[in-house]
Amino acid sequence: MSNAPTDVIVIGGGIHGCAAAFFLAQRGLKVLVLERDRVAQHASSRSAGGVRQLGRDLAEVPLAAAAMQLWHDLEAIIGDDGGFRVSGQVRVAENDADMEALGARAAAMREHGYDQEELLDRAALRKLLPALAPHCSGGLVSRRDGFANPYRTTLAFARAARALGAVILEGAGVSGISRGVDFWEVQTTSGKRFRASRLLNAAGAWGSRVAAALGDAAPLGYAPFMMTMTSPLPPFVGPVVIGTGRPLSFKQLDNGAAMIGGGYVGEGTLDGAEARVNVERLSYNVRTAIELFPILAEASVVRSWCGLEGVFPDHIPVIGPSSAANAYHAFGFCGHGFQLAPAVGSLIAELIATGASNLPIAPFRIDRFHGPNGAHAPAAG
Amino acid sequence: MTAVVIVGAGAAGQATARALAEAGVASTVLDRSPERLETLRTELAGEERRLIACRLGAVFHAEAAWFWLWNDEGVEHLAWTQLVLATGASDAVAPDPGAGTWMQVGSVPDNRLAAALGCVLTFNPSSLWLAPALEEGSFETSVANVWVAGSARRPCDESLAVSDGKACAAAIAARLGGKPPVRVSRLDVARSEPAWIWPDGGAPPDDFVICPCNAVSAGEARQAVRAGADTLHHLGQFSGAGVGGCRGRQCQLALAKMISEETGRGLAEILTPPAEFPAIAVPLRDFAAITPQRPTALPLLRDEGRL
Repeated sequence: MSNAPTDVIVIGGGIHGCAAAFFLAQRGLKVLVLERDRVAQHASSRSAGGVRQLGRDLAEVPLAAAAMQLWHDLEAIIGDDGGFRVSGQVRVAENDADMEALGARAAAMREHGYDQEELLDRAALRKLLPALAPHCSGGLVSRRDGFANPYRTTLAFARAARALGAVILEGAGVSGISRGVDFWEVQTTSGKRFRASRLLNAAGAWGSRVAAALGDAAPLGYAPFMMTMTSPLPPFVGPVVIGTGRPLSFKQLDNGAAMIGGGYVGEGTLDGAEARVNVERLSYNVRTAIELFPILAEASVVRSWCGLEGVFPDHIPVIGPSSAANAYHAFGFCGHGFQLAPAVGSLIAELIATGASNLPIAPFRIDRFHGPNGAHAPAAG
Repeated sequence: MTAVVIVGAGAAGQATARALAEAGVASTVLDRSPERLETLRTELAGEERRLIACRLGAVFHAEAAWFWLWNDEGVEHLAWTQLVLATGASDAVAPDPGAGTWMQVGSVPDNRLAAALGCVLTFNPSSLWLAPALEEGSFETSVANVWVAGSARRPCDESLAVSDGKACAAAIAARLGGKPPVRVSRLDVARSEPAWIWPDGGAPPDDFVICPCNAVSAGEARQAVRAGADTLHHLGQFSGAGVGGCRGRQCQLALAKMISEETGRGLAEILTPPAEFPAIAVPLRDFAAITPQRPTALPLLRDEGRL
């Protein structure tokens, strides 16, 4: 055990753990990150890398907006832009039902006073996405959105946190958490013990295990989300394209390769921390992409992989204090936590350092799943 | 019904199929080279002709009991009960900084299907490459009923490949006939030659394109390693190096050497199983044809585990 007192132990070296560690260290706190494997081992290095405000749950919109400010300044903040490109993101309508859903979404956003999503008619959509299949009838665009390299971004946060004195231990899985009079004691699988006055659970897909050890029940599920990279094609699409009636996330990278995702799951287990693709579901994922962009038929599937991610039944994360004093959660980002990470890291640091945050995080409280009679209650908007 | 499937119609694959036929066991030999298959076909005579089926295609993925084959007709999902990996070796190349191109420096076992199947792969300090770990006294991998023969195992000449194939066939015939396992003697892979010899001054300059598939320069790859992406997997996630269309067959050795030079770690630690899907790039058009209808949504997997 180290002699210098640690203020905060962060469990999990994904993008949320590393971002929080950076912002905590920036506030002068002494931080220790315990990562079971390597930094960004699972979802943080295997996600699509969408930097997306588009289509966010209304509860997440203020966080996503705050995060976007940080994304545009990321290089100044952590010394690396994470490969961030402003490309815009577009949800496309393939039929009337999709178009109706996009119209309803646009109306709901306006009603809440948000103006970052803009409806596109057929002609405007065609202008933005000339290679799109002709059956697509309209879209919804968020022009300041884009994409970045998730692994590079996570490493950059880890590096910046270390530069400010944070300690990030890799190969340090947590096997037990116990509470002292005024400290937490965390035991690792190698038998080491670490103490700190405060604790942050940023354990991703494994977050409910850490939460349970703190006395918080959370109905977290998990999903090995599949991603596919194709062989390079000539440039044919700028913005990131998202499906409306069926899952798809799609982008073309600088080297011409297209990246296909959208939320189809492979196979995997949390205990083995391993995941592999499911060929049948992956095939339909790829098929959806070809039906939207016929030019893709000429490319090859070069590489597909899975990342294990935590998913809550209401598809928004848990962010905020634990029911146990001096413990906090930021996990279960349901496959769309990458863009939020700078804002969540910053607000968690604020919460830990000052006891409050300016961002609205009540919808993400961990006790939201339990109504007065123990029944699941919907998250407050 | 048994489906004895042999991937690769090179010397080891052919020898396996023919020795199996001699023992009265039918098999299917798959290869993506029409020429190699045609050579085998013309050499088959009598019983061999009846018992050995030759099929053109690339096996791009294999899992328990099933594999996926791609050829001009599209994609097929086929069963196996005994699977012989006679997938051979790929050219090992090193940058030739003087000429700005690549030069061949050896040939390394192609273990991608073994990795997909979950076979344990270990670094062989003699061949300087990964090889499937074998059960004691056999050519069976750590996954039951999956066998490996020939230069997919370690560098070898044709006669060694043929003897591998015969030994594999004898073991498979014994297994299918319910007989005790056949022990084989020539398992000392430590005697293997190195799979490659790195040339003097082979470290590529920063502007050398070290991953041609994804157009990643040696400089970009070095920067990624210095930023912390210090395994082949992480380097691929960071920079795209080594994870393009050739699935690392061309640049993996050069990237592993670079990581070794940057970190001081040995290749035994750096060379890791190339487990990602697929083993061979597949045309999107054919891959998309596998599942024409939208699959039903799955219920969310719940985590019941504890710390």
